[in-house]
Amino acid sequence: MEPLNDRELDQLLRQWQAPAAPRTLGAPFGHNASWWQWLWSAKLQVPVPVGFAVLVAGAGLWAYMGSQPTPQIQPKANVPARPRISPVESSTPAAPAAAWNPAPKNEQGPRPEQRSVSPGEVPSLAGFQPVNQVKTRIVVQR
Amino acid sequence: MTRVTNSELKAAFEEHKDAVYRFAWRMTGSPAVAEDIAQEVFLSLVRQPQRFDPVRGTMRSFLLAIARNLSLKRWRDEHPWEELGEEDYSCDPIDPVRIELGEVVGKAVQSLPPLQREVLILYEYEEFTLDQIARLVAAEIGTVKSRLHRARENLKRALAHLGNRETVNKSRSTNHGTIK
Repeated sequence: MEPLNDRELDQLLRQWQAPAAPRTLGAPFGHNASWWQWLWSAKLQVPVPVGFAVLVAGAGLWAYMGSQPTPQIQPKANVPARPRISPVESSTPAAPAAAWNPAPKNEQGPRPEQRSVSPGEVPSLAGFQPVNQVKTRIVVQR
Repeated sequence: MTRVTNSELKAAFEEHKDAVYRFAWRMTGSPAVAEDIAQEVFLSLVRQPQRFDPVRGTMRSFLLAIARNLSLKRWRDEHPWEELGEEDYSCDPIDPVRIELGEVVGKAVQSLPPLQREVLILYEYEEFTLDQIARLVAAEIGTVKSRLHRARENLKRALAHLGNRETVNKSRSTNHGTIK
């Protein structure tokens, strides 16, 4: 087939008309569009490796968080306020209960520090600890 | 280098938006892509207006140079294994059946390698001189001439079957008919 000559080619090239710019092509000047319009039309190009890495990291973080035991929130101990006990005025004060600290006779080792309670002082159980070792003794009644 | 005012930016947009869009449309063959490219061209003008130097060329040349770079970037992204300028490229004849004449010509032009295509579009459609094109595409004027020559020769072969049909073509393009 014979190729076209220059004149024929020029005539054919004129047949290809391009359209004018569409109306949707807005001038990127001024602030015609509000921020939310921009937000809806904005595009974010992310390279595939970066997007993949972000996805993997997100999935890994999610899996890690899922594997952790849920911390149990312990309710704050609601310790009732200790009632104020007003000292009873009496001529013969009763011996306070905390002062009674019978230790077994055969107990070895250092004895816990005994705190003397002066008469009239309100006894407190703060710092009370159970004994470390209990030695039981069976007494057979005859 | 001069400072471009906001009113000048608006004037440049109104004056050159059609040329920029046309060029991008002819280079890419896609209205959506052409619109994206045109938008990016004017955005880059807004962001860095100081890059325009009237000493080096007109505003139209400057804008079309940006559009050209963006078009070539898109082409490279879509054809990572193809070369921009294939010197030995030869157009295959295009089957004109049921295609409008303008569309046939468009398909032939768009099948050219990008470096030949851009020179042909700038010369034939945007009516740039060879010297202006050489500056726009940052090439020697001899290179531009050579690319234009190869582009035209390719098109002559690709559109050979449309020869001697001027009268028919004119009536068909007027009636928006198709070539059978």
